[in-house]
Amino acid sequence: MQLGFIDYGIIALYFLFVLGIGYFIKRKVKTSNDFLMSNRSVPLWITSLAFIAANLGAQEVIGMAASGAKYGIMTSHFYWIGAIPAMVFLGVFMMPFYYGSRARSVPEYLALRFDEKTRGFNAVTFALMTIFSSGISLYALASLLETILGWDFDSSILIAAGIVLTYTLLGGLTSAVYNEVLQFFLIVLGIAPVVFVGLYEIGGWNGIVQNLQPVMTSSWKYMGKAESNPMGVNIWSMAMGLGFVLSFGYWCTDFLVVQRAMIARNMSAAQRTPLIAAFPKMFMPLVVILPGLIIMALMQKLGSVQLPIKADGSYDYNMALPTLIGHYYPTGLLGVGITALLASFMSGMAGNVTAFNTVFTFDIYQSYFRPKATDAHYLSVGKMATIFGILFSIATAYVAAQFNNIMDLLQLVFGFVNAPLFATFFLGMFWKRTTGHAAFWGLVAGTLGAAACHGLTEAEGKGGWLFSMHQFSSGMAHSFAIAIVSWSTCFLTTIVISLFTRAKSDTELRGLVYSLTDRSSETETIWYRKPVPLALLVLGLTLLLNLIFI
Amino acid sequence: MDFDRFTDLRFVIGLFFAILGLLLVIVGFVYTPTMAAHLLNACSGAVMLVLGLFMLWLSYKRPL
Repeated sequence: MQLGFIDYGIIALYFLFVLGIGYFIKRKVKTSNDFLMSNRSVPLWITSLAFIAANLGAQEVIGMAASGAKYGIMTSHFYWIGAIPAMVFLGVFMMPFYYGSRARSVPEYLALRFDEKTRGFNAVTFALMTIFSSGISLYALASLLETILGWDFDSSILIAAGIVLTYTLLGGLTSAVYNEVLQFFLIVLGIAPVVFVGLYEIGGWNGIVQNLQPVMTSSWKYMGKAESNPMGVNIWSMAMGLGFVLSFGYWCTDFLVVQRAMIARNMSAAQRTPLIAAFPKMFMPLVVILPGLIIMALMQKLGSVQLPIKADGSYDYNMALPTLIGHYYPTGLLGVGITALLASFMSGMAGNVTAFNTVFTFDIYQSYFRPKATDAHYLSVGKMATIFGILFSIATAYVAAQFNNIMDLLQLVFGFVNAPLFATFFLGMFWKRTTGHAAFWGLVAGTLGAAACHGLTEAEGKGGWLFSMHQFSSGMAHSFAIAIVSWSTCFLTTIVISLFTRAKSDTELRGLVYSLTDRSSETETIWYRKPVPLALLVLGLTLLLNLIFI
Repeated sequence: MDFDRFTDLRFVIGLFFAILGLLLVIVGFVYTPTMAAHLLNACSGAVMLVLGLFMLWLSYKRPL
């Protein structure tokens, strides 16, 4: 793939705008609240688009196209089962607690609801996870640019990290969120022409259906048995593992996305943020998954385009989207396509860094090191955390480049930590008897349960490091099972310990649990401004999409 | 120039896509060798230009 002068000009124009946003937002940043929380003054349409854009990183844009090529339209489960219901739950049931408690972060909510040790556990693991995720995103960006454009690995890392650092340091969270929205439009408009032209060449959806195996174009028909579909996952595992544990665990408790709703102007806007975000989210498979199906169908029908082959002889599915962009886009649009890929990596990285600096400043530094310093001091700490967050991300990117297996291991361990979190939140918000000791030890038990499940079972040559009791049909089925075991262990442990420890009084829990929160304050009168009717519309449309691609 | 406009995201997005769209339309008409390339650049550019102008119009119609 060769870029022309105009393509480089488009990339430069994009860099100019992202840096410009940081420069102009800078004059509005005066306090730590401005820098880390956007002063809770961001309009609803921006928080909604930022909510999904923060998740629209490299793993989604490149990874979902790859999964589309490998697994077909079943990949849409990651949206229609694995995201939308959880986003609805967050908007309708959980945002009132997050926003109403005035907590500045998810770990801070845990401190208010439970205790400091539960907050500390969540804050430290989350801070580490965001740094490693940011570093992996950076590594993936540099690797991709080296592969498809021949750009120098080191230069790619330094330029991308430098730009994210500059605009995040200048304008804080507002700058990152504004850039995420710009990046969202760029990603959609930069990739959509590939889908349009690809569909035109293959003969529309019917052309894809005619040229691929039926299992690639049905989302539910082959879910009865794990052996019947390429994911190797059955319907129960999909619904419980992805649709409940992993999905709700991520969308309802991960501060990276929840933060975008928490900076809305008021409770109503905070609740509607994930609900409005659900509309574009449900149609994202058209942009990020369809290219994968298109390239496989084109390979089958015309042979005009070919996925690269890896050293082991298998297809390099991660190259599905870049290959199509290189195949179709002329000079000009090629610059837009490459800029869209750059935007997706930078969006993911900035999202992680801004969540990291908030959690570090409020939940680690202010809580455990300097509880009563001035606001100017916390503003400085927030900025320092941003710089160190980026530096650690760069270091992580180089570690990933040297030891791929270490990154796999880290992601696995963090998966163990993340999976049980939703059980803690679910019980904490809906059962006032849940205690701080129970929440903490429930999380620890859930994490150990996940590790034990991984050690006792295996799939695709991974796991079974204690001894192998069971063999799963795929790595995905394995990870769903680990999540289910982890969640269940945390859920049961938390209930049992709660029954033997002292709960907080009703006065202490007011506004933090469902039964002790006033829900009569809804002021909106128009139906589309109310969370419940919006939620029903979202769920109805999602059901319709599932039926269309059944 | 009113620099406060640059803190209105509608204006920033509008300006970015108006410039990008215009650039692609021009490239589509004067720089591309094949009909397919011409159509791709021109049509994509037109869509971006429309989005950009719409966002600019919104930012002027209802200023912050």
